[in-house]
Amino acid sequence: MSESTLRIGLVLPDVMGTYGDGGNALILRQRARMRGLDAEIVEITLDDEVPESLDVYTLGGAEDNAQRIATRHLQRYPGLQRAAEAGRPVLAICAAIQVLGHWYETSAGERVAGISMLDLTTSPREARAIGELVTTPVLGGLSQPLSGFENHRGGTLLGPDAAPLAKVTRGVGNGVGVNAYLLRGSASPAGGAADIQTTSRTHQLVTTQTHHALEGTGEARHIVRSGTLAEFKDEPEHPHFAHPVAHHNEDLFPDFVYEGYKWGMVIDQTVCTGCNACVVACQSENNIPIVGKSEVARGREMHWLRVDSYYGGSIDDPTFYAQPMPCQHCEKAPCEPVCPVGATVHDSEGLNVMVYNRCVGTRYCSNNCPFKVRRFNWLQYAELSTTATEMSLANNPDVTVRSRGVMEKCTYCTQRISRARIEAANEDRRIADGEVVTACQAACPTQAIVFGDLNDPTSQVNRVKASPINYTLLDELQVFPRTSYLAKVTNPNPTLVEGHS
Amino acid sequence: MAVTTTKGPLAETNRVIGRGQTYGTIDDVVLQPVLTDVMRTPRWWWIGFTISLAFLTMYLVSVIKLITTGIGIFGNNIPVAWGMPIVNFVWWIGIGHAGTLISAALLLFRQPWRTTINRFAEAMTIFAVVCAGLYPILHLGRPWVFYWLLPYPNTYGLFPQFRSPLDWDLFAIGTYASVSVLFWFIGLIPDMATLRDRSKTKFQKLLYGLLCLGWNGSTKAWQRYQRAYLLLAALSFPLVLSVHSTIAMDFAVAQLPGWNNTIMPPYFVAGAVFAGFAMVLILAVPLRRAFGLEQLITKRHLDNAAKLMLATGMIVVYGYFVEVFIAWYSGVEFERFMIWSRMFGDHGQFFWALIFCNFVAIQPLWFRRVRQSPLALFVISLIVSVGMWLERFVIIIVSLTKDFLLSSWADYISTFWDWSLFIGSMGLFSTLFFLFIRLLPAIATAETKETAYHDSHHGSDAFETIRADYYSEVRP
Repeated sequence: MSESTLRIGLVLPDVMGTYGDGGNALILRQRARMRGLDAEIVEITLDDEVPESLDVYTLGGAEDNAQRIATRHLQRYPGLQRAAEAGRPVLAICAAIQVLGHWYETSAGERVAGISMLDLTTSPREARAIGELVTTPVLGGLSQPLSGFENHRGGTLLGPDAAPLAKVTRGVGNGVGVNAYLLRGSASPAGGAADIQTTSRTHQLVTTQTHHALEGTGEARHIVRSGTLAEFKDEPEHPHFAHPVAHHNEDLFPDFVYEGYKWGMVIDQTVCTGCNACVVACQSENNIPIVGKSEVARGREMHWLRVDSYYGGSIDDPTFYAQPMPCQHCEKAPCEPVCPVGATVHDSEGLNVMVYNRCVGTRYCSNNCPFKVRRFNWLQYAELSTTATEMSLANNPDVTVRSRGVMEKCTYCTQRISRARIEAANEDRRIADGEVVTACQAACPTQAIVFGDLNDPTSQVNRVKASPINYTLLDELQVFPRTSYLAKVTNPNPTLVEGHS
Repeated sequence: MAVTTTKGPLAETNRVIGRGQTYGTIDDVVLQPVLTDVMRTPRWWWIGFTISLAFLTMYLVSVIKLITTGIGIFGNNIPVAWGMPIVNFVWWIGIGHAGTLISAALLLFRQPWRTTINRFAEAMTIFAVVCAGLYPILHLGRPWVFYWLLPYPNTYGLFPQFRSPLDWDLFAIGTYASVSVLFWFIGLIPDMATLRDRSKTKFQKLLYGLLCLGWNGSTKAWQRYQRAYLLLAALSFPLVLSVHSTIAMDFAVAQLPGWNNTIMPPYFVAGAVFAGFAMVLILAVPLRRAFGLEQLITKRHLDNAAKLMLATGMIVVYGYFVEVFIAWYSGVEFERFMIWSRMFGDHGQFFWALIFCNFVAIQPLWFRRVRQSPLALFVISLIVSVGMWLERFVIIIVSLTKDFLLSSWADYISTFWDWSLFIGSMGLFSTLFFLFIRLLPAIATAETKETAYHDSHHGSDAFETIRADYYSEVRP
C-alpha cells in the first residue's frame, strides 16, 4: 500500500445498507482512479473498530433498529468523529445523517440519541416525501444544480453550526406531492385502510391516456384483435378474429425495391403484459425529455413508444388489452407527402426518418399520422447548455438531443442499426439476425417485441410475421405499416370462467 | 331593364348613388376628411385608433412572447397539433375574399353597384390577408426558418417538397396578396391625382403626388388605365376561387376524418365569400354613418351584399348537410363516428352554435325590410362572423381531438396567448383600417363620378344600359 493511495472508508455496510452505501464508495474510487489516483475501499463492519486514519468516509441509510445498532457502535469506537475533527470528509446519506446528529425520532415517536457529530436533529414528517428533486447548491464550490430522487419521511432540522448542501427548488422537499401510502396500512396492504370523504378542495390528476372501452366504435375499428385458443384451433389457417394483412395492390408508380436491409417489427399482444418497461427503455435510449405534470396535463407527453390500454367486457369484470404503440414505419407513410420541407422521409432500409435540422415545425405530419405517434417539442424541453450538466451527462451520446420547435418520433433505434451496420461492414458481412436489438425489445421481459430484417427470409421477424394471427392496424387506410401485431390469443381456464359467471 | 320602379320608397333603394350627386359633392364627402388637417381629425377617429393601437400592442407582446418562449404557450398538443392560430388564419383569409369578389368578379359581371364599396372592401382584403398570412408563420415551431418553404437556391441543395398543400398555400396566399395590392393601387391612381390637386400642405402634395405616378388625366391615360384595370380584374377573378380552394386542400388532402372531404374546396370558397360579405357589412354600416356616406353607400348596396351573404350562406349550409350525408353514405366507421362526435360529442355545443349562426341567423335576410336595415345587417353580420369562426374551429380542432385510435384522443384547451394573439390581430386589422380611412379615400371617387355623370345625364332608369355600353367601348 503506497502513501499516495486514497483510502475510502465504507462505514458499517452490514447494517447501514438500505440506500447510498457501497455504490457511493465505488463511485468515489472510480472517480479517483479516473484522475490518476490510486484508491481502495476499506469496509468497516460491526466486527471492526472504526479507524481514524482513512482519507474519506461514507455511510448509507438504514431502518430504525439498524440505526440504533450503528449509533451504539460509532459511540463505542469514535474513530469517525476524530477523523472528522481532523478535517476528513464524511459523506453521509439518508439515515446516516440522522445518526450523526444530536438525536432522531423513530416512527414510534421514541427519541434516540445520535453521536452529535453534526448540529442537527431529525423528526418524522407528516407524510413521506417521494419524487423527483432539483436543488440549487449553497455550499461553496458547487455551481450546477443537483438533481435526484427523494424518498424519505425524516425531516431534518439544521442547527446554527450546520450548513445545508443545497436549497430545494423543485420536489417534495418543499411539501409538494401526495403520500399514497397513507391509503395502504400494514394491516391491509392492498388498500382499504383509508377512510374516503369528500372535501371542498380539488386536486388535478394527470394521466397520459384515459381508459378506453373497446365496445362500440372501438370494436368496429379492429384496433385490438383477440380470440381464444379454441377458436384459433378451429381455424388454424385463417382465424376469423385476425384478418390477414392487407394485400398491397399495384400502384401507378412502382414500389421501391429494398436491395439491402428492410427493417420490420412485430409485437405479440398475447404475451405483452403492459408493464411499460419498453417505454422506460425507449425514453432513456433516445434522450426523450421528461416534461412534467403541467405539460402532460396539456397532452404533451413525449413518449416515442406508448402502451395503449383498452378494456373489454363489463366494468365489474373487465378484460385488459395492452398494445405497445411505436411509430408504425408505414411503407406509404402519410406523414411524408404533407411535409412542405421534406423533413420526414423514407430511407433506403424502409425506415421513416425525421430530419430534425430540416424540420420547421408545421406539425402537419402529426395531423396526418393515423397512429398519432409523433411528438413535438412545444417548448425547449431539452437542456440548451453546451457544457456538461447532470442531465446532459445522462444522455445517450449516439442520439441527437432535439431543440424547441421540431418534431420527433420512434426511429426503430436507428443508432443501434447504424452501429451494427458499421461493425458488419468492418467484418465485410451482412448484419446477422438478432444483431440489432431495439431498446424496447431488449427491455421486454416477455419478449413480445421482435425486430429484424424483412429481406432475410430466415429472420425471426419474418417467421413471426408469417403467423396466421399477424395483422396490421387500420388496414383500410392503405398505409402498410411495418410494425405488425399478433392478435391476442387467450386460453381462459373453464373453471375460472365458470366461477365468475 | 332590370330597374323599372321610379316611384315610392323603392326607387330610393334601387339607386346606386343618391339623387343629385355631383363631382363636387362626391369630392367633398369622400376627399375632404382625408385632406383635413391632422388636428381636426374627428374625435371618434382618435378614440378608435387609440383602442386599435392598444390591441396592436397586445398582438406585438404576444408575438414576442411566442418567439422567445415557443409554440407551447398555445393550447396545442398531440393530437391537436393545429390549434386556434390555424382557425384564425382560415377565418381571416375567408374575410379577405369579399374584396376580390367585389372588385374583380363584380366588375367583370358589370355590376355597377360595386363602385362605391370596392375600395374599402379591397383594403379590408389586404389587411385581412396580412393578419391571416402572419398566422401560419407564427404557428411554426421555428418561425425564423419559414423561408425554407420557398424554392430558392441554397447551399444545402434542398428544395421545398411540392406535394405538400402547405407549399401550395404559400404560393396561393403570396399571389393573392400581391395581386390584391396591385389591383388596389391601380384603382387608387386617379383618386390620388385628385387628392394631389386638392392638397394644401406640403406633406400631402408630396405624398399624393408620388402615389399618383404623374397622372395627368389625358384620354390616353384614362384609356390605358381602364384597360389595365380590366386586365388585372380578369387576373384576380380566378383567385377568388383558387385561394380558398388551396387552403381547403390543407385539410382535404389529409386523411383525417372530418378533413378528408372532396367538397372542401367549393365549400370553403362559399364560406369565405359569406364571411367576407359579413365583414364588408360590419365595416360599411358604421363607415357610411361616420362619414355621412348614405348617399354613396345606399340601401341598394346593403341589400345586394345581404343577398350575396344569404346565397353563399345557404351554399355553406348545403356543405354541412353534404358532410353529414357523405359520412353516413360512405359507411366508414371513422367518418360516421366523427360526425356523431361533432354533433353530440364533447364539443357538440360548438356545432349547434354554428348552425344557429350560419343557418338560422341568416334566414331573416329573405325579407327586404331586413336586408335594408343597417342595424339588422350589422347584427346578423356579427353573428355570421362568429359562426364562421366556429365552423373553422369545429372542422380543424374538433376533428383532431378524436381520430383513428381511441388511445390518442385528447381534449384541447385554449390559453390566454391563443386569445391575445387572436384579439390582438383584430387590433392589427383595425389599426391598418383606421389609417386607411384617414389617409386614403374610402370610396373610389373617379368611378363614382362616372356614375354621377350617367345619373345626371341619363337618369337612373337608363343607368344599367349605359353602364353596359361603357364597358363594351373599352373592351379590348
